[in-house]
Amino acid sequence: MRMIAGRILALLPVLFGLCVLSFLLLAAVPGDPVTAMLGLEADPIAIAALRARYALDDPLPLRFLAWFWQVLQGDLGRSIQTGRPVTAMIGSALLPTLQLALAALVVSLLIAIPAGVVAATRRNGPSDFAASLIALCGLSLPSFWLGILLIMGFSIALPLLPSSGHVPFLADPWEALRHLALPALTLGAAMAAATMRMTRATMIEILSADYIRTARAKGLPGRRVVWRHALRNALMPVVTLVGLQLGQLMGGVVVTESVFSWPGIGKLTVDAIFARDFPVVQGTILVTATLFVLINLGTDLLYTVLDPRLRSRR
Amino acid sequence: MNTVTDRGALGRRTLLAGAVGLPALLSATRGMAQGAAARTLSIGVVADPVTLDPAFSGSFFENQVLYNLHETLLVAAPDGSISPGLASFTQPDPLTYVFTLKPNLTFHDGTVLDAAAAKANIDRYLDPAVGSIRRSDFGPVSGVSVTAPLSFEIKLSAPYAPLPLVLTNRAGMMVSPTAVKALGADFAARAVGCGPWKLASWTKNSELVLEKFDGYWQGAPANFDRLLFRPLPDETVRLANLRSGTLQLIDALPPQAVSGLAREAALRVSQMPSLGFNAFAFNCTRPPFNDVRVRQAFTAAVDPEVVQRVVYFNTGRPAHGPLSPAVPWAFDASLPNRGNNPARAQALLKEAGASAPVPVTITVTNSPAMVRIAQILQAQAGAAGFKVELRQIDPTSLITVLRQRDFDLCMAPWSGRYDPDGNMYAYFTQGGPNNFAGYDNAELTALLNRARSLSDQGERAALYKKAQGMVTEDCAMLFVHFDAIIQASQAKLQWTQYPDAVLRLYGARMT
Repeated sequence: MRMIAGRILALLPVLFGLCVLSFLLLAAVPGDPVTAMLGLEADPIAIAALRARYALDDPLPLRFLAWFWQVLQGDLGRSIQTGRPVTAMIGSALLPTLQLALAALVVSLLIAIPAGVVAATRRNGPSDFAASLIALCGLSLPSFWLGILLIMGFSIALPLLPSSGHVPFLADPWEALRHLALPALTLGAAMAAATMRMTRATMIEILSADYIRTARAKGLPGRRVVWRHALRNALMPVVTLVGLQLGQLMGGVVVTESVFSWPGIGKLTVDAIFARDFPVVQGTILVTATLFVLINLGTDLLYTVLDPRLRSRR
Repeated sequence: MNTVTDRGALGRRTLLAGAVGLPALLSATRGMAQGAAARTLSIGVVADPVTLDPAFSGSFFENQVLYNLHETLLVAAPDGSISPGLASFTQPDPLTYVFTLKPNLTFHDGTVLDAAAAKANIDRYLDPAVGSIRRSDFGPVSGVSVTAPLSFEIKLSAPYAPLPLVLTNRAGMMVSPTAVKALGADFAARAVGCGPWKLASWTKNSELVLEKFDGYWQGAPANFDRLLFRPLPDETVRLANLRSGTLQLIDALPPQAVSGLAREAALRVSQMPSLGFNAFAFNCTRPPFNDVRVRQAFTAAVDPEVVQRVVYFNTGRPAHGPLSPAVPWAFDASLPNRGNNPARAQALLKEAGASAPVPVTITVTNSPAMVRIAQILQAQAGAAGFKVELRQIDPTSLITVLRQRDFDLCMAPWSGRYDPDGNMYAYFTQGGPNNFAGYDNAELTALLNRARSLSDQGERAALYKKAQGMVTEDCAMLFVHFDAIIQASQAKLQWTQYPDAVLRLYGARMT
């Protein structure tokens, strides 16, 4: 418990630093939310009126403090561009983001763990080469291209799945899953590649360990040795990797989101950056950074489940 | 071991059966979904709207939603002719327009649309404290007064011929004053208008759904219950969604896809000249382009015909001036191509005393088409004695760069207006809000002021012809291309295309 509390306390200065940094970066690029919003048609009087309304002419530190004071009161403010509350905007983008991230994770693990184990046990055999080749493809294919390829395959040539859009899970679970399939596959494929390589490498290392030889010498069936004795120990670094991947997914996946018009947090953030809509940028960064740290914390806790030694040490 | 093998075999068998059965199952539900969605028209657009409030709509792509959600006071046909919309008008004298609203108009929220509501709308657009971008559209409008429950008068401080056309655009859109008051900042996301469709739901970056408005003054839309707008920024993805049948209509088809799509019987490409221009602003306020001869030299070095072939795949047409062929009465087909003449470019540079190569920077946004155009300009101007560097920026920075005149040559494309005033006044008058070039010509300013004050189309055409001659002779901007509006749909969908690219879908139907 003390560890968890400590980790969460350590999060606060990190988040503050992040807020200051992102605020400064956004202020450093040319353009402000008003010019972005009004576009080329704006006349100077309209620009002046709106700049005054959003206090954009105030000195930078003052603007930051005004925003920060609001945040301390639990209010992320309103988007300058759309006038909507930032909390609501993030809230509606977070659920689809989580949905996609978890689905992609499931897809990637379903592909990566068996493939990694098979590749390690049949090292340098044809199935190892095949798995490595597929992993290489998964790593090198841009998700943009893979996404379009999947649309061409499963929406146009074989019209099975919808090519874009998002259906809330509670509204229609079956349609929600169908809409989730292609984006999750696109994203999962890229994640699977790294996980598979990691599983393979650690499995090879562990399969040559003494205790595995002992287990085999005792006459345990090969499958049991591989899937129970070796895999469990090989999962530690894999869990770290997957935790990091999942954390990154919380920041959204802009490319996959745009290809499938998935209303996730990545597109929201990037659009807000382009629009210099700083309350939204600050809000999304704050929320995604928090989630990233929390997921890493969760990953650390998972170690103790996987490795009993860590439990007794505390 | 046997059991293990058996289990494995069973597993494989189940998997196989699943693999065979799944597509059938998926297809079955797809059919069901299509049945339910048959009354929905799904449209692929380039960007999600930022705001649904016409007072603050600055993005060209927002129009696709706005013109279906809101209704304008007057309506323009594809040929630019004006007819009554919510109101009809008369002009008793050059400084007065009298509007009469149709009876029994209501907004989506039930608020009555009468003269007082119309006045509230125009007052809101004009109020400097509101900060609406529509304010400049109204030009010399000095005030609005209600003369009868359904009549109001717009007074001008100077004659302003473009006003009726302006009121066919966003400036003529009427929104519910009750909702503006009640919703405050939320109005941008929950706008209430009086168009044929009202807002049903909006999932940012995924879909915006409008549903038919039963109280629409021309009767509720008969052929579709819902319009679904899906933002798909990438042109390839938009096209893939049209091909898969997920969408029935898409905006902004890339020029390179036109010839390929023409061979697909299930789809149809629709094309027409757009109202706008694609052009670059010379910075006339600092060297080297403050010297008209250097501007003329650069213009002579560049050949818009090459851009037309390489970037636009022969869609649209090369531009030699600011007024597009979509406005035939003002378009000047006799304007010469001042480009494709490197020898003249070199002579002009020599005359200007510029020691070649003259270093210039071209600023463009990082869109593939604009970068390609800039590269062509770089090569052509390079051959004629310029040393051209490219600078790529993001679209929001573009506005700042243009307004601060932090450039030598910078892209400044314009979506265009039905009235030639909309393509020239803001760009070329002294102090005009879009005079990014800093072009300073008192005679032209006087001429454009006079052209907007006249009501006779013949007289105006003569003035705009003269104005185009002056602008192109002085090379205030480098005109490159008149883009075509290119949109694509399922062949079974009947709909009307407009030169402003707006999808007005009240009459759309499946055949």
